[in-house]
Amino acid sequence: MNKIGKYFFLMIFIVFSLLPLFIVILTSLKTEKEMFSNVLGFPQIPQWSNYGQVWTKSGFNRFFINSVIITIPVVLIVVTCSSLAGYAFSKMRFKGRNILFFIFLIGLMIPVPSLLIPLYRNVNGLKMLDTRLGVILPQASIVLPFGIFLMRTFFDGIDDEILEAARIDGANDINLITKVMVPLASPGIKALSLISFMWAWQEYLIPLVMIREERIKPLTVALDIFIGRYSTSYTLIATAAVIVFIPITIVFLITQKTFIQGLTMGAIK
Amino acid sequence: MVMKNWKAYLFILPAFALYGSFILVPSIQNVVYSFFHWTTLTEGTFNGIKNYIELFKDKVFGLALLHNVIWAALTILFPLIVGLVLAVTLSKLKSRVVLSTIYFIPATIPFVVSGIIWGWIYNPIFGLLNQFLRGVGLENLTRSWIGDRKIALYALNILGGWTFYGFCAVIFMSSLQNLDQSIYDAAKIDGASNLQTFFHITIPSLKGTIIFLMIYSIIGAMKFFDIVYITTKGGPGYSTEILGTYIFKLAFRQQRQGYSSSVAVVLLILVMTLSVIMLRRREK
Repeated sequence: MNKIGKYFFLMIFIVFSLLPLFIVILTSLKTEKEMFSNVLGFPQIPQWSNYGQVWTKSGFNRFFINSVIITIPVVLIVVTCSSLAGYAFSKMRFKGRNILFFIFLIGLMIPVPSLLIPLYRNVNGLKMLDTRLGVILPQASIVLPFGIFLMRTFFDGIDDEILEAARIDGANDINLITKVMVPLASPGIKALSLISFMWAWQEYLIPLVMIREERIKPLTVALDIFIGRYSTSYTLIATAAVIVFIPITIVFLITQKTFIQGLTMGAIK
Repeated sequence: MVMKNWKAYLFILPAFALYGSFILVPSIQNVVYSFFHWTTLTEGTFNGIKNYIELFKDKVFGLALLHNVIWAALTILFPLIVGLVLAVTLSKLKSRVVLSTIYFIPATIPFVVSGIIWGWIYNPIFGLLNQFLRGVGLENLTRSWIGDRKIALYALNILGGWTFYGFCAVIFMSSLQNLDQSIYDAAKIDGASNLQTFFHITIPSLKGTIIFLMIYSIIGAMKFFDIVYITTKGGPGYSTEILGTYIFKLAFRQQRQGYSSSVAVVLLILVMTLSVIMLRRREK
């Protein structure tokens, strides 16, 4: 490829990536009339009031908080459980280590739709239907296999000798973990937090099945209902859509290096 | 390491408790359910393999499975290849970090949102795609992209590709960075063209990554749900029905949980088998 061809090729995909997002952001700031007369253009007067309307009147402030309340525990559970298990699989020797690890790996292949019915029944049996916990626990469990895999890979990269040295200096297990391992593993922990945050925020199917009560629905499910209710007011739908995706996209843009390192660490070995 | 054995199990216990209760046990329950006919959520009668016999006669099931297979094939064709070519093109540019970040952005967008946006792009009346086609004089190509039985699945696949090609590019890029530069230098000295180095050096050395992404795409193609459920709910007709949406509808719209479980079991077995075959490949 010559140089111009190369840049043209790269440009096309910049447009492909960003154009759909520009459309939705621009639409969110337009009046209904402008939306049809002028799809690609900038709004004449940005309608910031659209955001006020969706945020307070349509209750997206509540849905936003619901998403936060679901996402944070998922991230905490995934990071804690994966770090502990990943450490054990990487640095400890015990019976059944390979089999147990393999059992976790199977989880990477299990399609979530295939678990819906038993999950629904079990969550119902635990009286957790229509509760946030009924969404948090299954969602965390779905991300765990990836988390354990990532953290094990990460701990594999840390030299055993560092641990030995700390141990000889008289560190006990707890000290070893909090003072030595956690600081060393912090890039891995950061990456896993970001990735699990993104997945938890994006999750749609589990809350769709487990939560009927509008009061505790997260953004993704609320947005889908909103579309059904306001099917013709495109600008408000666009506004709601921006509220749903902008937090993750911004977090990703700020942390992209750590984020991508985490993703690729699991992939390439 | 020196830590005592039993502590290792303690470390794994929290993860295993969760994973066991919400992933492993349900997978097994699912197999059991698939042999029952459920009248209510709690009451069922043993049904033998009747659900599975019905499965073989069920045309919608066959169609849904076919759509999953088409989806997997197209995913390997578009996002994977584009991702590879982009990664190779980017690998020596200074702007590669910025550009790959831009390509990755769609992967951060929840499917509910991408479904809405692309639904608009494909809209027959005000959609951007039709407007563009009219603008360049291809009026006769305009249509209702996701309302047309023949192309709805392909139109949705472009949407799926939009959320995935940047991920592929990023993964390919970082494995390219791990490659030994000296092979490329040697090839250059030997007078190999860019295309020759691409096919004879780059592709073979990325084999592991290519297979990883193929497994990832196939598993993804088998288990996806959101994109279709949000945009078309499997329609028009059954033209975009996939196993995920079919399982969901059978269980929660038609209350046929036993039958739905048998579809889920087939899906599970398919994904597992495919993954094992591909992983074996990678080992070789």
